[in-house]
Amino acid sequence: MKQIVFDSDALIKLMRSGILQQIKHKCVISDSVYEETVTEGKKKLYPDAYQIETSVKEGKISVKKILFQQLPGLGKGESSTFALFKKLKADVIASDDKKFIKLLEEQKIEYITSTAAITGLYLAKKINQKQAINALEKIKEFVSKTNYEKAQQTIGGKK
Amino acid sequence: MTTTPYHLRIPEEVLAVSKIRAEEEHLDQSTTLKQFLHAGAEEYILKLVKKGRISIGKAAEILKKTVYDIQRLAKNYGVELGPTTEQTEKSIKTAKKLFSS
Repeated sequence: MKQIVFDSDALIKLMRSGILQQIKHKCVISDSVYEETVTEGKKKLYPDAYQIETSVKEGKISVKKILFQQLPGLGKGESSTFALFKKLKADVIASDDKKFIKLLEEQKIEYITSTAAITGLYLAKKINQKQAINALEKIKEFVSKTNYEKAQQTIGGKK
Repeated sequence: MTTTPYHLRIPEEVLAVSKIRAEEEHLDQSTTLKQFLHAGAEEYILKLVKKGRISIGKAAEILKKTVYDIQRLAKNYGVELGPTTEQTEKSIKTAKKLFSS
């Protein structure tokens, strides 16, 4: 089974989109990402934080402890995601962060963004068009207009 | 929020606006000045994230906020964060391959 390591931003958006449960690969996060998304999120009563916590409890998401060095311009979440990916020899990193993706491209590490994950699941016939469009709508206000429209066009929704 | 004293000469027009805001929102003028400073700092940090100079996680650390807060701030300020179109296109191919396996 392939392993996907998520940073906080991508994890929150994919949880919010409702398609995380459709991903059959192993979903992994670092303890720092858990801290950012669940512990910190719950302090401010963000609903996604409780959903992520439930997914961890149900075993849908695995949390791994990792020692890491904070990388220049990146936060603890992204830096620990990078270290965890290397340690696990995982397959893909899920991130929507331009700075982090630049580093992944330099390191020739494969990545998926949140809108690409929705589009990819649709293209791979793991979700239908209605599910894909619904998922996209749920994160519309948190992704760029260009990326939203690109995903919508690929899925075949209205332009 | 921790604060530190800092000597600063403030332009008269900014002081005038802060006075208007103080009256409008029933606050004291030093509070409205701090709000202006804070809003400027938040917007500047978001622009750095948009340019790819720092990550969302780093922005959250600098502003002492959560990643959720940064997502919401970006929405409120109308700053679009996220990957470039090229990065998204490349990642769609990766995602299709990944989820087809």
